[in-house]
Amino acid sequence: MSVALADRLAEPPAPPVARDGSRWASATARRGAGCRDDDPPSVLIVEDDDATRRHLVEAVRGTGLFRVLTPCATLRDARAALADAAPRLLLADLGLPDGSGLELIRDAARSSTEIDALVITVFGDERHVLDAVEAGATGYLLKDGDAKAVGEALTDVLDGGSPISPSIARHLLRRFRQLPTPDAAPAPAPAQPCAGSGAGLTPREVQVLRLIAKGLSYTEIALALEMSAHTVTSHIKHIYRKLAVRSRGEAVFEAAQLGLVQFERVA
Amino acid sequence: MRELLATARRRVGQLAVAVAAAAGLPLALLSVLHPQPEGVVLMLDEGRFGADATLDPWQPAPGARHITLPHDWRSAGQRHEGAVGTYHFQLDLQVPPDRLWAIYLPSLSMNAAVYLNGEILGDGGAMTPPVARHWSRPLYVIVPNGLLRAGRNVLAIRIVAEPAGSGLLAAPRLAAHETLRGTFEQRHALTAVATFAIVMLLATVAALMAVLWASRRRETVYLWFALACTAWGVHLLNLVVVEPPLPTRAWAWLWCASGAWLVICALLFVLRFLGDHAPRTERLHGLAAILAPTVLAIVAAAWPGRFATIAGLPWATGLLASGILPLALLLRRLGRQPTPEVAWLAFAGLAMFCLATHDWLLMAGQLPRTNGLLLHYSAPVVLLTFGYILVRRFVDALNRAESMNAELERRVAAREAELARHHERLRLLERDQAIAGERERLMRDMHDGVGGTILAALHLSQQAGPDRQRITETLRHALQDLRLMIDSLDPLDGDLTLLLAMFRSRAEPQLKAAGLQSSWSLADLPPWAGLTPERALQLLRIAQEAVHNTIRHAGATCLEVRLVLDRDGQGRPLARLELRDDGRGFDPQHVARGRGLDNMRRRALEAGLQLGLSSGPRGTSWQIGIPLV
Repeated sequence: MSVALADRLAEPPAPPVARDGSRWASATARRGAGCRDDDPPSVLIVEDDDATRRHLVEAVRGTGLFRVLTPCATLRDARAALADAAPRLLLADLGLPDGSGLELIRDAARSSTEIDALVITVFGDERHVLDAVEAGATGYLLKDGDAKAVGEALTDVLDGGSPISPSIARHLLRRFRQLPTPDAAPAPAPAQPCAGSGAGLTPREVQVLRLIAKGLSYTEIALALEMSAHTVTSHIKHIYRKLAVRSRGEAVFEAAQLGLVQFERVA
Repeated sequence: MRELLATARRRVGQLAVAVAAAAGLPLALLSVLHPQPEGVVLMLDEGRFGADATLDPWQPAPGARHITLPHDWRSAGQRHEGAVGTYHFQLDLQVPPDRLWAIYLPSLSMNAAVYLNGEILGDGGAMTPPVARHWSRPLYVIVPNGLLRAGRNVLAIRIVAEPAGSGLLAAPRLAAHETLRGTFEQRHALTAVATFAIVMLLATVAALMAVLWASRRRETVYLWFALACTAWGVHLLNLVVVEPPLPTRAWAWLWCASGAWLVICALLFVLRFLGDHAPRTERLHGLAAILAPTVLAIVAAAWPGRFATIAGLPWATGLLASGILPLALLLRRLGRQPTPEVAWLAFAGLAMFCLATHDWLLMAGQLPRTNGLLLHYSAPVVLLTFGYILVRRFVDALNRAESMNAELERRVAAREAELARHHERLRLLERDQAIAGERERLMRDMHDGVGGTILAALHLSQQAGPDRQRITETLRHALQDLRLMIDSLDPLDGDLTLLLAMFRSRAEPQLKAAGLQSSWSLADLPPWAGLTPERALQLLRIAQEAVHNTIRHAGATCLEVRLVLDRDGQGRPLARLELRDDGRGFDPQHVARGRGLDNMRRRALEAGLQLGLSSGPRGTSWQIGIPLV
């Protein structure tokens, strides 16, 4: 029943209407293989709750900017869809009946085509979001967003941005052990990034995170740091990627400690 | 049973060895103390003995008799009661000696003068009372070259005895000086020098023990050992001092008294050493230590004759008999509770007793007096034994202290672990209490917010012809409240700015969706320790309610939100959160919106916040004062 409905909902939408020409152009220019240039970006929605799924499908379709693929309610279906359809965007719930959406996000991150994965969450709380980011997600999307909010979030992502909240910024700073001390001025930030893992933050990234944690909008941050709003969002995306790389690095390091992985000495 | 027998057999074996060693000690000493010269030696063991007051070095007195040497004036066959006596020896030499000769007197009593062919060769000191005391040491005189002639030579030795009748002369030896000298020096070292060394040793140990006792007054065992050593040293002066500083009788009294003190101190030492509680015995002996010498002194003063009788063998007999008691105590303890300490001390006591018995037999005339006294040679045995015991105690105490330290450390560690466990239990208890308190608060918050809102939505949906938009709005409200609750539970570390930044991320989309513009300015505030989840939630709810009011009722186009750091009237830091819209304002007394306002006021009161409201035709302004203390 729900699949049939979803199928109907996933019929080819109307041709995309560019709200913002320049943005749109940049988004399409970076699109991966397997996607024709004149096609609107495809979105795969994975959510086991029927009503929420329906709402999201409607919201995404309501933007008129995306091609909504047949939504999935289970991890198994979603994996198949991910492999077959190679969507440009993946919206994944974490609590699926047959597994965690995190696996799906990992699959997407490993995919040969470029897939931006967003975790869909009720609260946008940092545990959900950061788990997903570590798995390779680009950000998060609130489940109750209307078509406008969803559309903005998705185009932002296509444009190279990543949704973030002050609380998540703060948690990220903590993760990277760059917690701002109370008496330290917001800028300049400590000059040296975390050494070694390659997952340390640059001073600029730390500044961005700190300003987000202080409640500044992207535009305000761009003004404060004398950069474009686009640069601000791409900083966040970089930070997310570093966290993902870092968590993979930690996994490898732990595996090596446990003797699960052996490194061959290079003569 | 077999084990008992084996133990008993082993004990008996050990005892036999100990007794044999103690009894063998006098024999071993005697063989060492009387070295014999090797080579050509003339041993003069026959001569003539006369008791004339005057001396003719050439001729024996008319009444002189033929005697054999050694000659003990007390011995049955050759008794002599006088204080002086002279020995004449004839030596017939074929040729005069071609090198230096000497005369060696291994044993004598009390002093001697040596004459050869009418010439005096030497003496041991004073020949009149108080006589120089040579009763425990050899004498040696060199014969000048040319004095010994071919043919007849006459050697005269004059002996003075003190007391009278106690004279003694062992056979004089004549030989080349080089032949005799080594023998004399050996005997001199083993008697005069060794005795002196023993007295020094006793004095040293006495001083050390006295210091030890002074540092540990309660351990009187060291005091009595020190006193016993002192008494023994004084007693031995009789053998060491050649020319006593006291009159003969006083000197004899000192010997007697110090002997008694030695025995009594030894007894008290043994009692304390064994830990035997015998106050009567101790008192009795303490009394004896004072009385016996006093009585003896009176006797010496009043009846010199009787004193001379008592001061010899009878007194020695008394000392020997008294000495049995401490030895018996040691042996009894050894039989009951054998410990190495008691065994060693008992052996030392046994050795001492054997030598004392030898000396007593000698004084009683049962052994040749040329043997010399031996008791003092047991002093090194006693001192070594007790020294060994003390060293063992010292080492044991050190070991015990070390193991006690280890034990103490172990106990401290155990106690620390116990404390840590206790602390952990307390921590868990506190955590449980905190969880319970937090749970209660969350329940209350849910009751206040989400619960009520969902219930309202439920009621709305049950009404005939449900108002879908109101239901949606109500549920959205519930979701917003839940998000506020979640944000309030975020670990904020007192960061008020972060809390309001989160609020911005929640409120801005709402305002945007309602078509309102908003401008935000959040100052960076110092951390506020008072920012509990409860306060955070109350603050967020007040702010949310203000935003709600603006969206729903104000008809505004813009909301301005500012967070600034200020000071209150008393100069304390105060954060001010202001939400100002450009709407049409409202009358705070108005009933319809009064309920929301009452809620806000209540929340502000509960969270210790100051809530100010001013509303007019140009808009509404909410001011929330947050005291940062």
